[in-house]
Amino acid sequence: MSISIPTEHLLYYWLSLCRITPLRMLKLLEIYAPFELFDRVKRDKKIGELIGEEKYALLCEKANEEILLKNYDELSRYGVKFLAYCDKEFPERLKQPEVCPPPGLYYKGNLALLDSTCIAIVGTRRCSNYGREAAYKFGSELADYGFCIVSGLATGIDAYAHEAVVKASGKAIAVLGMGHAKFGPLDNVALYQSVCKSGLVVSEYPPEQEGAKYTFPERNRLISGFCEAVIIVEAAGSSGALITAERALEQGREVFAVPGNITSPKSAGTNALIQKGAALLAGTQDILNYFSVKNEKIHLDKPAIQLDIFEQKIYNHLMEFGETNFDDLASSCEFSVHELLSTLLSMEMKGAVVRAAGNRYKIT
Amino acid sequence: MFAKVKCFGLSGIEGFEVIVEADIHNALPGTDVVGLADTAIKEAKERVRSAIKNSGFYCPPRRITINLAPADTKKEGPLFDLGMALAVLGAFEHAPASVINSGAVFIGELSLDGVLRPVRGMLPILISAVKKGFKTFVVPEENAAEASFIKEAEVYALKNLREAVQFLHTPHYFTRVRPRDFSSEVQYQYKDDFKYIRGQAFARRAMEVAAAGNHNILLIGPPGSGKTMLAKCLPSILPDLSAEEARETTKIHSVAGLLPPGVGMVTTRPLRAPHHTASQVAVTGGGSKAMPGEISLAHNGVLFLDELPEYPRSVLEVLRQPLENKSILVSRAARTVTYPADFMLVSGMNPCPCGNAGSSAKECTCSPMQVSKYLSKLSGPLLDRIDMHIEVDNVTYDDIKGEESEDSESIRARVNRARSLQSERYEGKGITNNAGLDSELMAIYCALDEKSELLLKKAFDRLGLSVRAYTRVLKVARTIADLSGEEKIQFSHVSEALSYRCMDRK
Repeated sequence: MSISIPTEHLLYYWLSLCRITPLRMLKLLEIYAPFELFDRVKRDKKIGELIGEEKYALLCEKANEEILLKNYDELSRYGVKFLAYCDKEFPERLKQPEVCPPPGLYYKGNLALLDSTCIAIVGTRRCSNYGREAAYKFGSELADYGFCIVSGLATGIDAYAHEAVVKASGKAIAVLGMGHAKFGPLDNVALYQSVCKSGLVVSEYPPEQEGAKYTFPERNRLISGFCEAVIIVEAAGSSGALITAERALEQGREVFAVPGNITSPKSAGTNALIQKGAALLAGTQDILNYFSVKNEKIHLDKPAIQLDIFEQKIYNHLMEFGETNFDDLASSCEFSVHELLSTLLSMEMKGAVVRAAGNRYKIT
Repeated sequence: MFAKVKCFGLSGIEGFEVIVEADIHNALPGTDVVGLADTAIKEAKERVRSAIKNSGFYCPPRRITINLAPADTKKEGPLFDLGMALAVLGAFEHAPASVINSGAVFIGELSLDGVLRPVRGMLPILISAVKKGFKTFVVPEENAAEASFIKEAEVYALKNLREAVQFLHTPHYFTRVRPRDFSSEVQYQYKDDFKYIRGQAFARRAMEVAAAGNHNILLIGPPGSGKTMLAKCLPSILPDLSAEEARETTKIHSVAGLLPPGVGMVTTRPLRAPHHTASQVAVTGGGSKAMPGEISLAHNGVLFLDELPEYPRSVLEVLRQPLENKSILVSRAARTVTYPADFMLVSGMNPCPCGNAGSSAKECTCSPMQVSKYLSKLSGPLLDRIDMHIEVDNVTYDDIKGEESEDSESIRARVNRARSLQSERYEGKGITNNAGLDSELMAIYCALDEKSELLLKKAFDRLGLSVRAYTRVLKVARTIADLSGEEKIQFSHVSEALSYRCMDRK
């Protein structure tokens, strides 16, 4: 009796369903080609030894073309597509053995983004104002230079970086630590959806897989895998972002760290990285130098903002002094409170300034 | 051997007539009090006995029955002591029984030595009694100030039981308390004045707008940013207290026994700041005696809830209905009372549990989960009733050292002007200020020109304002227009009003 062997694409789907850990998957695929595996899985006990009994049972159970096709069809229900290792769109960078490539990626969005130069911006979930600003700054500035920003859509730095990219209509790739249908945190759902729409969201996990303690570090290897450089914005001594940095080094990616106050525990990790030899990131120019990009912004189609004479005065002040408290602005620009309020709001509407927490204003 | 005296009881903020009767008969000596009396009244017989003895009257041991009519209404408190003592003295013929019942109303608590002690609720009792046609009142001396505000009442303030008996024999020896007028006593001096608030230009302006339109306001800021100070100063810029308002507020404070001695009335707009451990009953009113709660004590004034998210959800939710109705119905087994509760809600909160989110001085140490949990304690419907939310930032050293700011009096002058515009405009419409505007009136008085309409529309998209913010922004814009004396809402008014909605942006 001969078993019909499904296409290679489906075979990788089969492997990805069984959720074998990346390292074991790597070993397994070093020994067997996927079709060989499918053919021999029920006879070859050595496979079981290699991947553990539980996974082996699952692998055997799913080794049926009918079941596989049925499962595969269900993907459309989630609005998710599958990109197999063997597909030509599968990024070469991920195929390095150091990355432990997944058998495939479940994705929503635009695959063409995989061809762009990717830079990851990651950092702690519990970031400070400083971290938030840095994430925002690098997110929007690098997006303006046409880099594709990769991050994890977690709370904190990840979300701020992507928010900035989405706002600047730049390229964004998000790598999830859970299946698409189980996306969390719920606060970022809106952001998730806008990245799905304008960018690309990938996950190596089937849609129904919940995020777990181990999935996030596993995911981190892909974040760095996608990229040519990784920016760690803020990380405490034990932050998950440091795992990304470690993976990046293993994979031969450049690691940039944003320096922080020595008194801030949230910058302890990044400062330590710099000590160990990571590149110190003091401005967008550092990245441009690394990639030898000419100082030329890609998005030049931003509409010029028209300011009237009062607005210009405020704009100039903010330009000179940076983020300023409302009260200080009122006293130094010599406006009455209600005049300043309406002027600032109209500037906000024009997109010239943004209001930060604590009633402070800064230019965009 | 029988006498009766007219007294008044108190139910909520209404008085009701009570007739105290005493009868003496030959049986085993003792005193019975009948007529649905509470413990304070049952114990009164001991006070009355000692007071009579210590006032120098001799009552032979007899059976005394005291009845409080009407017999089916519950009566509370010690305000019948004087009436009971006089009824007993009348029955023993120490006092002329016919005179006792001649029409004067006797109110007061007795101490054992016969001295008259003040009672709660004198003002509402007198108001009700005058309405019912009573004219002459005998009250304890310490209640004189409060009682003197009722011009129609002929009030005699006495020191003790002996004087009361003398009054019955020779009323013409006593002079009535000189009546006073509420409006002459209203004060404009407040301890907390805006001139002591340095810096905070934004918050000061926001408070002025809130006061000018009676808008509820939420202050968000790190600890030490002066939220409490701002709230405490608010009464000083609220419009002048009218005689009618003072009278209403005094009634409630009188029932609660909170009137300052000597003055006898609430002379400034009250500021009530219950702690966040306050129970639901303490806030809304209730208890077995259906006493007024904090929201009624803040009537015509300010209710300040600091650390808003720390209040139990149940307490915050019960505020919703009084915020709409301007009154609260307290129903208990014994009685149902409606207390007025027309207050301005000022609340303070930190931006996150540690208080430092968004602060320029310190880092926030809260996890995002903690922050969202903290903020979610405020329900949408409650936030819905708060027209303005503003952020208050820390004050810097330079601010403290800066010059003295504008004082409350000049701010109040502007607020008064804006309020009088409003009350003129809304005459006969059932509201007195912009905060009370409903959608129907808003269509008439808050019409926007095209440019402002466009701005609002843009703001909704760009700033992520919610739909519920729409009406709030319009009301506040109306107030800002009133402050600058404009008849129509202008573009700049709308844009300023939009700046006072920071919670909507999160």
